Amino acid sequence: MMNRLWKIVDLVKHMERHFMNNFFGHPPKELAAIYVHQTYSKTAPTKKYSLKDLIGDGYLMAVPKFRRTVEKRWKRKFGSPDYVWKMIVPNKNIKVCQECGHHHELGRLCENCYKRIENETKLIKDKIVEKLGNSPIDKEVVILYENEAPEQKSEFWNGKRIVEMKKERPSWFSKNLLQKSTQEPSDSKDVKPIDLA
Amino acid sequence: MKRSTGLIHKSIFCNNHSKPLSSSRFLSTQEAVERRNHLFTLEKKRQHEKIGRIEKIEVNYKGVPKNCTLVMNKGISTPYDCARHFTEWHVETSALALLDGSVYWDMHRPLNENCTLELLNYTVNEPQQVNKAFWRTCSFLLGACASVAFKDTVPVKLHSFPGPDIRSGSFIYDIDLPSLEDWKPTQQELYTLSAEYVKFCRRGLPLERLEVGEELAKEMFVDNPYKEAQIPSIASRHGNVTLYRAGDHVDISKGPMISNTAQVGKCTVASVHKLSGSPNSNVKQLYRFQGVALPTNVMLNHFAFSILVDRAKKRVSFIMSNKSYQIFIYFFSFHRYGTIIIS
Amino acid sequence: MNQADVSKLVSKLRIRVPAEPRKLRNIKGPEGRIDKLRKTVTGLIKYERIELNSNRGQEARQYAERLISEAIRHGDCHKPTMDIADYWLLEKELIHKLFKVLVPRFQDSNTCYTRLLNAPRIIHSRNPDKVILELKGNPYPVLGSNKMNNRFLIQNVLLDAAKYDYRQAKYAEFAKKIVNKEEKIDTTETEAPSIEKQQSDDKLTQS
Repeated sequence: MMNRLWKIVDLVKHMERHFMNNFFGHPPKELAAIYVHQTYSKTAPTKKYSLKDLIGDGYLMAVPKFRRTVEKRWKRKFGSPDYVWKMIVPNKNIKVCQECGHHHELGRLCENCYKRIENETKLIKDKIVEKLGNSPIDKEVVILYENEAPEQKSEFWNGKRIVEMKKERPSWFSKNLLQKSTQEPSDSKDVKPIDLA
Repeated sequence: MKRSTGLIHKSIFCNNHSKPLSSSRFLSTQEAVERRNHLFTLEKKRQHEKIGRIEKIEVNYKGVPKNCTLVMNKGISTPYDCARHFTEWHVETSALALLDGSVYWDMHRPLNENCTLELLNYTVNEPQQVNKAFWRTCSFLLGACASVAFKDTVPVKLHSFPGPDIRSGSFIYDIDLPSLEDWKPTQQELYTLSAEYVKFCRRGLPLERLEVGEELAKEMFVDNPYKEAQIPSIASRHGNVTLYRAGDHVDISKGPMISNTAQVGKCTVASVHKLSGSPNSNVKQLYRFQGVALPTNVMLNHFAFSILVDRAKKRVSFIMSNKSYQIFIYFFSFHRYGTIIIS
Repeated sequence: MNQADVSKLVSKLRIRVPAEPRKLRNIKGPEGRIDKLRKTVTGLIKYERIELNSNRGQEARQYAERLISEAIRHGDCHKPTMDIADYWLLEKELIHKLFKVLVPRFQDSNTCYTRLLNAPRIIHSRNPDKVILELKGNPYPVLGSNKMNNRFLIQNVLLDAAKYDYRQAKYAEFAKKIVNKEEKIDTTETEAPSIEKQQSDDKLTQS
């Protein structure tokens, strides 16, 4: 119903425009000329547009012509897992030192333990050099710390040269280096479980 | 599930006053496991609530990275909690705690008084007790794995496991499979058992300890006639019964045990042997499950491990020798009710 | 068949020797490289433990091993060996040490004479890798102790027991063979095997 009504309205409008134009024509040309004249006088360019106006003394640089694909952008950002991988990955070659509990790299010495031993080694080295000097070395060197009287019989020391350190023996420096380590069974009378399951 | 276990629990406590449950003897293996697990949880909760006011104790820690004093909760904090104050390495590798230099303590057993604490891992200078705890735990886990591995149609009645004897080459669990008369496992079946074992260990379950009274222990093992028969003798000797739990498997053991099942590395269930009982006892036959395992982080050549596995295939017979005498006695005391003849 | 046995001409080193010598960068070229190595070998013999850049340490180790093995092989009365020692040891008092201290120390050893350990490094630093080169049996504190040698460790206990079992089985086998032989010789004796059996049982119980 409404559609039909709108159609009729449209038809009337069309007819009106058609007939008005045909019978009365366009508005008089004088009027148009006046109008045109007025507008032209306002916006007419005096000079032709040129690229130089825009740049001036500057110069143009090369710019990307095409958009980079997402794959390329991601590869730049994160690297490639097969070649250079830029993401942070967990380091799995780290171990805990059984002696001191510090972390160290697999296949290398523990930094904490090594520093300790290095210092002690340096002290002993200096002491040996100081004691023996440039004399020809023809005997094994034995290190004795303070309050460590040679326990063995004098025959044991015959073939050896004793270098005494003027300090206490560090607790971690085991005395019997030449013997196989692992502690002796302790004397503690711990409660041995009798019946186990 | 929750509701059903709750119901079971309710029914138990209703019947507790009148008479022991006779129907629960016919529980399926899975139901029995759930029920036991539920009772364990309840009892643990009860014991925890019984502590009441929290008191503090001082724990003197000795070892790497440095000696220090920790203030912990009495009856709640465990050596495991102490280890968590240090590093992940301490938590993961510590198998056993040593209190006051003399008492070997489970990692998940609450501390009750001021003490000095050392955490023992598998590479300490004197690892004998740690090794024993490890071997014992392996036996315990073998029971757990066997009770899971079989189909529902095959009832599994765990009997017992002897004390750890590492030099024998294998850990043991004696299990009764009443529906299997003459079972000789194929290699494939052994592989499956081993796979189950590995799967169970990889779950990384903590081994919880709980001491319960005789009555409750009997309640828990009402489906298992062997365990039920063993409980009075254990209770008369130690006062109460010590239970361990890993996942939902609960078993009787004297302990101590290691901290976590993830500490069991390479492992194989090597063989199953048949043991026959004496004619006048109520135990007709048992199957002896044997296996061999090593802690994680132990690097052992596969050839060397294959030697160990081959050795674990031989049946372990307990010969009266000076070393294994103690174990033997305990073994027999466990078997008193079964009177198994071991050839 | 007049070919010489190579192992009798050159002492075999107990370390892995790479196929090609390593080039150590030097202005003087190969001569400078050898000078560098001589200094390092001298330092090693003198101090018994030194810290070096990785490639220099690995290269010097081979020369030090060779020097010691030559000294052990020929002794101090051998002119060419003496010349070698004279060339490689810049401080001449160390020649005494080589023959009087190191030769007795190492002559019974069946492993290599030096130890090479990787020094700790600062991660992501650009410093070259360092190594520690030391003579075995030095008086200094031990570096990098290995805890796996403990015979109480569970794997060692298991392997020990397996070894013991294996030996017992072998002994029993031998005993059986001997008994069988005796039986063949003297068929009248019948008690021998039972005694053997008892003995082997006794051995088992002793474990």
